[in-house]
Amino acid sequence: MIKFSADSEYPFLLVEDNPDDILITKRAFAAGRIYNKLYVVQNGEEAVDFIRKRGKYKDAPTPALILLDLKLPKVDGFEVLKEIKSDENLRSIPIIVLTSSEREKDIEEAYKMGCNNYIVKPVSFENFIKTVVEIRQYWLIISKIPAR
Amino acid sequence: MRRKKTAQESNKTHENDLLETARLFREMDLLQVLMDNIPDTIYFKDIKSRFILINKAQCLTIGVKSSEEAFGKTDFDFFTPEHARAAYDDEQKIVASGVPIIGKVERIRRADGEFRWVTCTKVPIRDNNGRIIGVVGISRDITELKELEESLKESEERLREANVSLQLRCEELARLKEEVDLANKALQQSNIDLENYTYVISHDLKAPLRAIKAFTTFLVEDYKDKLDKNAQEYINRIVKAVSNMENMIEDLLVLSRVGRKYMNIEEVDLNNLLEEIIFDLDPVIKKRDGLVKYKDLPKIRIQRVWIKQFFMNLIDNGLKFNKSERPTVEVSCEEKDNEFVFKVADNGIGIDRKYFDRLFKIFERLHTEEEYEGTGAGLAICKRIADHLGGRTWVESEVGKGSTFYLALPKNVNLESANKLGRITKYD
Repeated sequence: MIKFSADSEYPFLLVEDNPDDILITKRAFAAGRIYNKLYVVQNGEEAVDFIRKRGKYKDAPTPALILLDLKLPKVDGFEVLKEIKSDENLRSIPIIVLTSSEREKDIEEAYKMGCNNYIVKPVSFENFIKTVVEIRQYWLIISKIPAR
Repeated sequence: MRRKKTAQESNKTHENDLLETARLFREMDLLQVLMDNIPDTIYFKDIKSRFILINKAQCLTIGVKSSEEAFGKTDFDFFTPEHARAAYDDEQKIVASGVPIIGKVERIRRADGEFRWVTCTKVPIRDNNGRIIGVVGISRDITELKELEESLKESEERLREANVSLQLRCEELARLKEEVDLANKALQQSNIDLENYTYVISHDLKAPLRAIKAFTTFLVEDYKDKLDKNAQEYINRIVKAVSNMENMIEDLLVLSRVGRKYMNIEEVDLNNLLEEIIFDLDPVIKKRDGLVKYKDLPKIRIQRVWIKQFFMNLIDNGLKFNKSERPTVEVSCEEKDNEFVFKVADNGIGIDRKYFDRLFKIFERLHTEEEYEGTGAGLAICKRIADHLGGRTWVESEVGKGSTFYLALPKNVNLESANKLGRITKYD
């Protein structure tokens, strides 16, 4: 059986342009007892740089999980998805799309491009915490860390 | 007793009659009989077109008492110079060539001043040696026939004109139809745009809403001890307002989804659907000690989501806007030839007739939020659903006695094509 050390060894990457949502997500993570280190980039270009360890992100860790908004400046979430999922070496990084879009078309498209989970951002913080708990459970399953 | 005549005897009698009549005829001047009795005019002229003998009808036409009075005179004495000249020329040609004129149509002015149409036939008269010594003519009044012909021509002309204008009208209609089609297309596009617009706006509005909600929550969580009662009250108001806005946006989203979102058409047993709605509304029904009844609902092919939403909204309203001891909503259906007419009747507070128009508009409320909670979008959504399903919805109500909402759904509604519209909608 594989042994895992602290969650902090498995950093998450949040790709989110809205500073309010960044704050809310961070707080929801705390409330939902997710202790993994959370890196944040605010557009799709930076997200790709981060994952590919390019430019100022050359020392960045490989994220264990990516939370990806779809509506992003410059390079949008779909393109980030496409770039990562079409790369042999990066494909295995789980990506959860976390967006406010409920469009079937977006959902279908995101899954087609290989996102592992699609979560619609709830409006109320309470529900946001529930969402984070979902993310945590998802993480626990994929990382095979026994629940504590 | 009289004996019956045999056939032979009868034939014999007929023959005798005939011979007797023939004998009588021979004794008469048949030319005179013809001249005096035929209504056509007959005139004998010499080679210089002078009257020799005319019949009674011709006497009347030219206005003389007897043939003798006309003797030696010509058409120039009785008719218009134009006609007299034409007739004279014709007769001279006959005299010169011996070729008769048959059935020539002429217009003459009678002695009484009336103009008549006649058809005349003139032939030469020859003596025993074959020399032409004159002309005999016979003219028949065809004015009535001519008038009939004229009026036929006229009506034919009118018919032709009517045909032309009909054709023009058809072309005009085709052009108008094209315009209407274009306008319809534009309208359809603008509807699609509007729905997309609503959808996008609803989503973009949610982001700041999420921020307001979250940070208000953080404020309370982090600074609860530092906030006095007044500040707490303000925060409560913010939370309530934001919830309200959230509901409105949700409703707008639902409204934009009707018709936009592709939904499968399936056979729905509405009795089962009602059972499901009652289950879903259980908390509301229990809270108000309400009752939802239904009876004999049909099975129809429809988009389940929308018909459920429709009944759910109306039943929820019926229970909510209700001060009866036992708020009751009853759903029934009347099957007509071409449509189902559904009735959702409640024993609630009722609605004044003067508000009927406003009722189905989005975010219209007849009551303050303190009285009855809700965004005021429920009936707008119902109306939109009814439209989408190709049906009609309306209300009958009396204040204090309750309201009845109706939904008429055509039986052969082409949902497939209505659906297509939603399906082909593009977002980008």
